[in-house]
Amino acid sequence: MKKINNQGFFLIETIAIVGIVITILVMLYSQISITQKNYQLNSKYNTSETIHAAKTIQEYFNQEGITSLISDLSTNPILDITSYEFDTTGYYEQLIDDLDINKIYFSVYDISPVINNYITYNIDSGMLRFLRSLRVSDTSSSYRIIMSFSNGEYSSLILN
Amino acid sequence: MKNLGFSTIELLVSFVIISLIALAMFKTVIDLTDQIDQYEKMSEIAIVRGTVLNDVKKDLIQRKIYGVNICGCSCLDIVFQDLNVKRLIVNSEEKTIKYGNKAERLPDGYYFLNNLMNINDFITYKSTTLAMPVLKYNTILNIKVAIRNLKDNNTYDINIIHQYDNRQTGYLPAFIQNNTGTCD
Repeated sequence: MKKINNQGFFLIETIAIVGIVITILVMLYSQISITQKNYQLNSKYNTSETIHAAKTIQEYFNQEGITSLISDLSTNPILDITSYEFDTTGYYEQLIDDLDINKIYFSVYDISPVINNYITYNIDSGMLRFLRSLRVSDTSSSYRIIMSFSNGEYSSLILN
Repeated sequence: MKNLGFSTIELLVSFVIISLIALAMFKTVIDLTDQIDQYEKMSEIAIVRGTVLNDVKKDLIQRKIYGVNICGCSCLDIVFQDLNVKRLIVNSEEKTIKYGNKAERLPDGYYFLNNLMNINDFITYKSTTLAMPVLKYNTILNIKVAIRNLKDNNTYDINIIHQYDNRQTGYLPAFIQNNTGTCD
C-alpha cells in the first residue's frame, strides 16, 4: 500500500486561506470606506437648501447686473466676490450673512484652469474637491456662481 | 497507513483563527448596517429640509408675501398678498414641522435646536430692510429652523431666505406680535 504523507500542509493551507480572507476583507472595507466618503461629500453638494441660496444670489445679480464682474473675468478665470461692493447700503453683505455663505465665487463656465492652478486662486481643499465634481458639458454656458456655506455644503449655479 | 488527524493544539489554533475572521466579518457587517442606517437618515433629513423649503419658497415667490404674524412659540403665520394665511409651526416634542396642512417628521437622531434667546422657541426670524433704490429688493426675510444631529452635532438647518421690495407690499412690517399668541 502506498503511504500518504499528510504532514506539513496544515499551517501553509491555513495561512493561505487566512491571507486570502483578510485580503478580501481589506479590499471590501477600503471600497466601502471610499463609497462612504464619496456619499458623505456628495450629500453636501448642491442640496435643495444651497440651490435656493444660489438662486437668491442669482436674483440679486439679475437686479444689479454683472457686467463689471464679466469684464473682471478677462484677467482671472475665477473671482472671490464674498466682499464685493455691489451696493453701498450693505444689502449684499446682509444677504451673504443671512444665507450663511462662507465664500462666493464668480467664474467662467469651464473651471479647468482654476483646478489646474488652484493654489494661485487660493482655492482650499474642500472647494477644490467640489470643483472637481462639477461637470463641464454644456458649451453654451458662460459663467458660474460657486458657493461654500458655513455648514460645509457647496453649491454651483450656471449662468448663461 | 498512519492517520495523524488533528491535534488539540491545531484545532484550537484553527478555532481561534476562524473566530477572529468571524469577528472581523461581524464587525464589518455591523458597521455596514450602521452606515446604511445613517445614509437612510441623511436622505430622510434632506427630504424634510427640501420639502419644507421648497413649499415655503414656492408660496413666497408665486403668491408674494404680505406680512408675517407671530402666532405663539415656534409658530409663524405667513400672510400672502391674496390674504391667505399659511402657518409654519414646529413641535419639538413630536419632532414635527408643519407648513399649511403638510407635516414632516424628523428622522431618529435629529432634533430641533431652540432659540438661545427664548428656549421655548424653535424658529428664529428677522426681517432686514435697507435703503435700496426704488424697484430693487430692499428687504430680506430670514426664517430659520435649526436642526442638529445627535451623533455628530452637524448642522441641518432649514434656512428660508426671501428677498422682496416691501414698498410694493403695502409696507406691512414683518413679524407682528399677535395678541393671542405670545412666546414665553
